[in-house]
Amino acid sequence: METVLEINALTKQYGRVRALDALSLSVERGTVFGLLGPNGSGKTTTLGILLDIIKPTQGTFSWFGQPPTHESRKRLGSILETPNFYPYLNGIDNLKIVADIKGVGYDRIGQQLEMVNLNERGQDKFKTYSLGMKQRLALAAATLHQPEVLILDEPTNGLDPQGIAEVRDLIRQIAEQGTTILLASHLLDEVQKVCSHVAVLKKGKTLFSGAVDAVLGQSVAVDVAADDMEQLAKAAETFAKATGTKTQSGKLRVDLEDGTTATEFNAWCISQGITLSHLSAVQRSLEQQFLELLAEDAQ
Amino acid sequence: MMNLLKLEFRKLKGYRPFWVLLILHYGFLFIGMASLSGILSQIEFSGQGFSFTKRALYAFPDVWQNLGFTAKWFASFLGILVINSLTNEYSYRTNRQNIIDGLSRTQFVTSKVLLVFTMALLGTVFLWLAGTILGATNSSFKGYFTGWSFLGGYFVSVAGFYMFCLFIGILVRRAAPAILVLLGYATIMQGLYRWKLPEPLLSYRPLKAFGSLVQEPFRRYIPLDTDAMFGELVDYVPLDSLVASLVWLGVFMGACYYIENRRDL
Repeated sequence: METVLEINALTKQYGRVRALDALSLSVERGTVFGLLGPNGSGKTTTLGILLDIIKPTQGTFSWFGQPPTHESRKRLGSILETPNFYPYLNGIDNLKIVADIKGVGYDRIGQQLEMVNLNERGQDKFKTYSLGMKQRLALAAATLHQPEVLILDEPTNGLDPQGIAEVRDLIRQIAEQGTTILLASHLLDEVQKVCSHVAVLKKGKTLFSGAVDAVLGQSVAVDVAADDMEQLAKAAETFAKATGTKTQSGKLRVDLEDGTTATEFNAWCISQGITLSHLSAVQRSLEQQFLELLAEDAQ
Repeated sequence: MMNLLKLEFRKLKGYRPFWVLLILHYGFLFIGMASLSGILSQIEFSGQGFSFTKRALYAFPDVWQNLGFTAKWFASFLGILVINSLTNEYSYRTNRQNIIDGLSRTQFVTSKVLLVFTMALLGTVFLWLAGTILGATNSSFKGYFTGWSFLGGYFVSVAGFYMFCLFIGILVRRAAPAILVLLGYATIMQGLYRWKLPEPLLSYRPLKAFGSLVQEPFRRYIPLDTDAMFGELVDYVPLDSLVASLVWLGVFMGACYYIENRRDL
């Protein structure tokens, strides 16, 4: 697999605040890569540095295996925050400016406007557009030159449920055509639905990164109790399908491998001569896992 | 280079205030130039008015300095257009978008620097045209090709001032504060220079140097001995002012690139 983006120990210091703390990650061609993290975790700062609107304090990155230049940015398509266009120019002229900067012809402007359903408003000034239309024009601009990498910052922010579904569909469609996508989001659910890979950020650091299935896979756990908790804990650790144990509020939380059932664990306890006084299966939601992860790091 | 100028033109093409102000400016400037004799005849110094003939006012080569000095006053107003074209990019956040889309920061500044030189060139061409027309209609073509150094001096003077405006715009990033800084500079800093700088250096401060390239020529039409009152008539482009202006022009231009290349947008 070809590495499209490589980030090495990127650090950004704002006064006393460290927005990015030696962040490293790499993105392979053809993946949909999610930067997941709560607000203030450094997602937008990362994208800003990658697009040269923010200068890093330390660290390097490379696009397409080369040190970054404005030429490499021409191969990207980006939508950050609000759509930025010249309000007094019409949609077509705004796209012509993007085409001029990208060094591509104007021939795709018509079909792009059609794609985002703006062909009838192309002659109207940008300032007359509704927010939805502005966002659609931004999408038309970002994909005008058929970019190799599409960069999106919180793409569904401020949209209604139907808009959210449309945008997610669109992202999947664009990804299917082979475009690499780098997406920043604070919504776990969104990353899980559209991304193939993820890096979870917190306070400018990567908590973990990898394939979404591996990192955020479904898992089950059981809460158990017995008269002799110590014996139970020792026994649980030797259970082949247990991935971790933890005592909380008088009960033992045993994380189990995917597909393991509470019945199996119960049967195994009996075989070890332990009688459980409490057994409840816990379906851990991804959201919960994500929050737990953030909480663990804080401790 | 041409692509960057084309890009800048495309940005301004649909921006009506720019063109309205530009056309109004040249309209008023031409009226001002054509009615120069009428304006001058209204002015008196201690009971003594200007003494000139219309023919002498527009005769080559004097016409270049007479009109160049007039045009210089008007040209200052266009500094607002330079500031505006830049601060618009910051308030619409289109400078960020330009960079994101693949313009380098250097190219972004270059497109604005090209705007500065183009506007200065436009003003110089206008001065040349107006001088030729008004000179030929009021006087004769005799001596037409002399005194063109004032055209060059005018170009550097105006380009320098616009570059200073660009520098203020890049520094301040908002239109109204930038114009306030410009006005504040003209009053506070000039006073500060006068207070702190030794006399010989005073004439080399930036706006003074730009202003000294085409100096006020009308004292030659006052019959009194004006040297004692206003100082000697400088009817040429002073070389030391030219050198100082070019240095300041370079400094402000370099500062624009330096600032834009180093900060977060």
